[in-house]
Amino acid sequence: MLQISNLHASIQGKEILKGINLTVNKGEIHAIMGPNGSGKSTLSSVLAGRDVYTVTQGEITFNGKNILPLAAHERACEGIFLAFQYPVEIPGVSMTNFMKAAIDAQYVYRNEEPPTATEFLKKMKAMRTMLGLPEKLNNRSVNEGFSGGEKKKNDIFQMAMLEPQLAILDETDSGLDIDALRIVADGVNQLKTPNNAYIVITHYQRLLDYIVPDFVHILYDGKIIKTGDKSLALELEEKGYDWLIQ
Amino acid sequence: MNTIHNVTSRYSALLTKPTVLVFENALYIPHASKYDTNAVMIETHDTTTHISVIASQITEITIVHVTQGNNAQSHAHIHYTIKENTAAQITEIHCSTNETSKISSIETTLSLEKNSQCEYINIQDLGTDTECAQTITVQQEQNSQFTAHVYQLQGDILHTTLNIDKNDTQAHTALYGLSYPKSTQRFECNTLVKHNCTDCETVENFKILATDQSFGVFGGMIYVAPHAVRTIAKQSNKNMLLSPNARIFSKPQLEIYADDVSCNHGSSTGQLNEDALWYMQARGIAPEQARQLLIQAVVCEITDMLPKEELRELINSVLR
Repeated sequence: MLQISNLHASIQGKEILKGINLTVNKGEIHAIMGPNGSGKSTLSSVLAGRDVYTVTQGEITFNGKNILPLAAHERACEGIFLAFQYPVEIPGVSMTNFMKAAIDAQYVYRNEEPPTATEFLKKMKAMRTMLGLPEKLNNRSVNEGFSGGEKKKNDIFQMAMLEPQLAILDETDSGLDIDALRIVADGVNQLKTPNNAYIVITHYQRLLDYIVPDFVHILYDGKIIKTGDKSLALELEEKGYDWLIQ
Repeated sequence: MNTIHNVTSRYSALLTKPTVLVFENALYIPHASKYDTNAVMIETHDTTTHISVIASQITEITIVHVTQGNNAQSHAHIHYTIKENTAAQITEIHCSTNETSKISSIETTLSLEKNSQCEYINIQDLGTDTECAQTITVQQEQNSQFTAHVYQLQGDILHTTLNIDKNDTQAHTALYGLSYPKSTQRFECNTLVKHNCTDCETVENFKILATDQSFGVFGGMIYVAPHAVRTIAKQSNKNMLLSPNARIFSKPQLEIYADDVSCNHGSSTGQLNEDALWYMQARGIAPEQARQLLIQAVVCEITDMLPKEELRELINSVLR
């Protein structure tokens, strides 16, 4: 589904990603771990198409299509979703309007008939209930005045609404208490199908107890320096990163 | 009257009201107008028109002021009297036809007698070659409530001054304004609210959204006289620069000579939030639509104050 080869990316002339190779197939869950400043968030932003980063070398193909020329909104419409480390507050834009605009844009991009208002609201209700978000969510401005936990839940809610093929969860566990973490992880697991895939970026093994990865990659200084299965995360928790870096 | 209908077609919903008064280059056009003689009294003399609201129920008045003709210059005086214990909703639409360079100046006075209420909506949607200067002076008597909604939507140079005098106690005022200059347009709005008596309130919220190379100006002064205690006044002017070459000038002012008052004012000028634009794009919303959603969010703070849904829809449709 996703193929990243020799990806180099920089911001304001500073190289952050220095040759990433990664293949993600349908149905897989990949965890990316690594110390602060190793390039984890940069990788997620580059995949989603944030234009402040420049890709200087390498390729990204998604379902066989080169996505580097595509703008962020086009990549989202292709089925790539980024759950933000810090979801953004948008005062004055209600969740309903925001979600409707996003869904309609994605359906129109794919030449499909967007859902009717009734279908849309029904789905909003079902997904909101699944994630334990309050009913007043619909009329509230996007993330405005939400607690840290509510913001993260709201991002997973949007993922549930948009049904992406590939979801990148950028430190979705940061700032979550144990209960919220469990709700978010349960939501993510319920949305897992054999046809979609996740890239889970995290600092802690804790999240991976709930969302069990097929592969764990260690990112350090812009490169993947080690790949293993879920036991690698446990090993890291115990030993830290130093033994890998040396 | 075809030209008038052409320029006002987007406002057709307002032309079905029982009272519609049409002016062309400052002159009242009786055969294009209609009104209920039980609710409204009208006297005209040359370019001066007196309109009195006498009915006890809420009277809706639509005024269409058209400036047309090459190099036309007009100067109109419109005087409204809202009699004691009456209520009026006045919607003025200022428009012009597409010919070169026109200048329109309008002096409007509103007298709100004791216990009267007035919602005054002023929509300036002129041709891009028209200059329009308006001075709106309001005299408020005891326990009167005046609300103004000023929309500077289109024109070459638009200059609006609002002067409010509170001549007796418990005269309350709310002023809302939106200026949306484009290309090289220059829109300016100045307000002066004088609290001359005790126990009066004022709420003021003006916004400028300036794009391209346009120019927006807001000057707001709230004056509180020495004996005008228990005054409550709030003024807000939050603006958006939508392009790197647009300019906005803001001058919020309070002049307070009384103790025991509650007054505040705030002004800020910013840009669309880049993080919010990125967040929306990451969900599949195209950049231009994301911008529109953010602009709409800012505009809504002002349009939500309009007294009727049809007016909100009208303004939103003009802005889109």
